[in-house]
Amino acid sequence: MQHVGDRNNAPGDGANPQAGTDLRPTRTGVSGRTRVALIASEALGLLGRFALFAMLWWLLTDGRSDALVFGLCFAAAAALLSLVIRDPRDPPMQPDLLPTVLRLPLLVPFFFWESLLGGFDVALRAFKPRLPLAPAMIDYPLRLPAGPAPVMMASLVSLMPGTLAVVSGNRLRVHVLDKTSSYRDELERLEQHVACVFGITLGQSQADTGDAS
Amino acid sequence: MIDSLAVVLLISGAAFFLAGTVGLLRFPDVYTRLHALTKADNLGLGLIVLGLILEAESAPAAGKLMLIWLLVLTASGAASQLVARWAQARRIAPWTR
Repeated sequence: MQHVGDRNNAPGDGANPQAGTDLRPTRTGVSGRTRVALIASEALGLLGRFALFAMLWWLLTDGRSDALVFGLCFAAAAALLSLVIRDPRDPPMQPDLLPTVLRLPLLVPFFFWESLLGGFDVALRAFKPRLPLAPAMIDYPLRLPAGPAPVMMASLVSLMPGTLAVVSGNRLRVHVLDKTSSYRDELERLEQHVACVFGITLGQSQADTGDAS
Repeated sequence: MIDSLAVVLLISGAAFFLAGTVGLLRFPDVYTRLHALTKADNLGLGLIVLGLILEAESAPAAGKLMLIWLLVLTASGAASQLVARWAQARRIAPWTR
């Protein structure tokens, strides 16, 4: 996510949204250092995708070594294809994507525990003869900036006991099965987890992303 | 030992699938039914995959099972958000007692 505020450093240079530290706008558009960083992050992304596709091939062929020749070729082709088919209007690969992927396992214990609780909770409700349901729709104002983070949070909220979420602008519409109990603390804790994984520091209320720098 | 653990995991997984289906049939509206499907089926499939991994013949086979679970998890999470969003766009009010 590029910060909108960075543009203030290089007034009148619209083609250079990356030059956060470079005060003088260069004629070529992108200064040398940011270009190197860009290429490095692209190469890293390419390598990561290649490793992912090769791994998938290994899984799908049950680890057969004689199939690996084709697999490596196609993994390389698929990784390169992801460069070709990308919309040029999209922002360049975000350099903070890799740490996010690496921090994703931090959510795993939370995810397993909440899945277990949520499954038990809803199974009990389904089997009880009197259907113990008191549903309601509540709004939860998000502190996470727009983008993939709220979607991730909504998916996780839907696995937690008694809650189902949809992203709607800068808030989360949460459908709860039991309106008598409070979910706010758990939602705040989950939002903190997700912010940590995405490397976001949460403000007090819904802070604008552009104000961060 | 491992065999009996696998059997326990498979049977409890099936029980959660049953719970999800019972919830789908008994719950009153689209939102509550989504609760039943996303949560119970996610846990049921997780338990069944775990039980099958214990009996898997090779590491790639176990990895394939994990991959299946991951794909179903992603798909069901996305589908439940889409269905809930559709219901909200149609202004379907949540059922209340």
